[in-house]
Amino acid sequence: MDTLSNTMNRFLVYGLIAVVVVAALASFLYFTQRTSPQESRVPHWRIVSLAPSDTQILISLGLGKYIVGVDYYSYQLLQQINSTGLLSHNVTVLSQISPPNVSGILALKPTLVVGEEGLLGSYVSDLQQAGLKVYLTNDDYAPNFSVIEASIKDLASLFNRTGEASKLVAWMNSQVSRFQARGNTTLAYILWINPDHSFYTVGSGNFVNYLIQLAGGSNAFYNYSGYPELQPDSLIVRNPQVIVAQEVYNLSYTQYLLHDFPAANQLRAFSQGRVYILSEDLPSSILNEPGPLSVYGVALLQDVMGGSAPQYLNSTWVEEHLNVTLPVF
Amino acid sequence: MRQRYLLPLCLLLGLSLPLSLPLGEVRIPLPTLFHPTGVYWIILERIRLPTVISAALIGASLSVSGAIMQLLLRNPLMDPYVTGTAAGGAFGAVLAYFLLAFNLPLAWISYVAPEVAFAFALLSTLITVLIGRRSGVYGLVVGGIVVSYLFSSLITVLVTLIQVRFPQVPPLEFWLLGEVLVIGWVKVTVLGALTSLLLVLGIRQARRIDLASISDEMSHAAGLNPSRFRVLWIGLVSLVTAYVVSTVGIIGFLGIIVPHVAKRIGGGSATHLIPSSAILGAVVLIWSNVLSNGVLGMVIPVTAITSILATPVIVYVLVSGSAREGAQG
Repeated sequence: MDTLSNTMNRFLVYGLIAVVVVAALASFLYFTQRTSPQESRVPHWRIVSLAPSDTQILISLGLGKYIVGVDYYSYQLLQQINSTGLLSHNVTVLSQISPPNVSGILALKPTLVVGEEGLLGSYVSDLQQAGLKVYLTNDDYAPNFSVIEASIKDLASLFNRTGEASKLVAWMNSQVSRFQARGNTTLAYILWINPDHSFYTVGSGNFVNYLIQLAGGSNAFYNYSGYPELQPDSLIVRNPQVIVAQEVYNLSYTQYLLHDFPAANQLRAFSQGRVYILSEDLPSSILNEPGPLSVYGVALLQDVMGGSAPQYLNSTWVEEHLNVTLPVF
Repeated sequence: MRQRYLLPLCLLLGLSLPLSLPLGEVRIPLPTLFHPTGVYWIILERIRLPTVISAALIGASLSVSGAIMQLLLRNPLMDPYVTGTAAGGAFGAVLAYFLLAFNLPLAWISYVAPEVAFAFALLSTLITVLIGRRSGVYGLVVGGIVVSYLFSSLITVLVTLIQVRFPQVPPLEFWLLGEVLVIGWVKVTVLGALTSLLLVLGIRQARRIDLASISDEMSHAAGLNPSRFRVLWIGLVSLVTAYVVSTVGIIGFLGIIVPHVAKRIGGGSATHLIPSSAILGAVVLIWSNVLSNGVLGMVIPVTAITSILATPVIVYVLVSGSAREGAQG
């Protein structure tokens, strides 16, 4: 009886083991077969990005390969940092942004069009009536990094990239803390000089003003708002320690305009050789296009105010000296 | 006795000149105005005085030109730009910047953009005169409209191309809507000479202008060839206007509104209309320029101010039927 009982127990144990193994195998097969279709559901995102600030964010969130259409200025910026390879290999470059080339965008069959409020705001209904899904950001008018970071998180949530968004925001914050400085150097940032020497500058409440402060400077025209057009009187009265002027068409013409500025020799910045010209490509882009790359703008302005920057800041200097790279998470 | 109106007008001009000096983007404190030192001296001597005097000279010359054109072409809505001078001048300036923006041959001419504007203003006048030479007054008017449309369209094409290449370029308001900001004394001297020539000739030829404005038959009877007389005056007016456009851009409506108000004050004959338009035009442009040049906290193109002033005057002219009378005249 004992022998019979032992034999039965052994069969029972073997049977149980067999059931467990079969169950495990069945579970394995079941789950592997369930996950396969999930993996095959690779997102069919087709993104059209129509602003350099948005393109920077999308690429940093690891969405570059889904960008099938991009505006000309975004593409130019990516060329300047040798990063066009981060876009979809058959990306279309759109030269017309505002008003948008609706037919050209439709032809790309995008699942989402991302753009700037200031450029596309008045064309949203046209785009929507054409059957396009549109998402607008307002980064071009961001007064500080917090607004850009919020925009990063919002964009990321549309593509389930919240983890990447957190990493990007952390990277930006770490870069800003690295470059941030204290000081009180008065700086006039000249966006454009007209032939009669009136000029466009930055007032308070905009992004360049914020970058100047982060870099340890004080905007000479902080008491204006937005991007005011001012007359030479104002620059003479403010007499800033440093002048940073964006290139007007080309270097020699900009130098001519600055040299011809009324009472130039009596202004501190001119007499002390503290007038800097930013080339119209990468140096101007990282200051004027609020986005992840703007963190390098803080470093650039700090070098200018610290006196370690050359008087003509071109793309080569910026790339070599600041090692500008767009992070991808 | 009728010239009694000149005394209050002269008084108004005499007061406007010093009163407008301290007003601008940078306000000069009144005590400093009498003993200017430091930056205030620089602003006053190099910017404010040349600008205010230029505004007076330009106001006078455009108003007198408008008055003479209205009389000679027997149309109360004529202005000094009737021959397409303004559009031609603005095209010349925009072309210079276009060549620079695309680094094309002859790009160096942008360094002498005002001179290029002057040359094109004269060229457009020449084309108009050639078109209208055989078909009389209305041929000139129609020729002027055609030339204006042609150059305006070319401006639109060039500006669009420039803004695609340089999106940061602000609208070329300086040339298209006028800004009176004159630095240094060279331009003031030329403006002074041209305005004096226009005024002296205008006053000396006032009776002949009146004669030509009444009828061609009477002019012939008095030994005056009205067609040749008109062409000569159009040439002189266009020369002055071309220099004005090349210096401060297009200032619209002044040449229409001032002669109408001056007519109410001193009468409609050239003998009275020319001096009264000159003084009134100087006063109107001095104060329009004060409003335009930052006293409201921002630079507003001067044509925007003169257009607001012009609207009620033009409506009045149309409602009162003067336009119809003039057209029949």
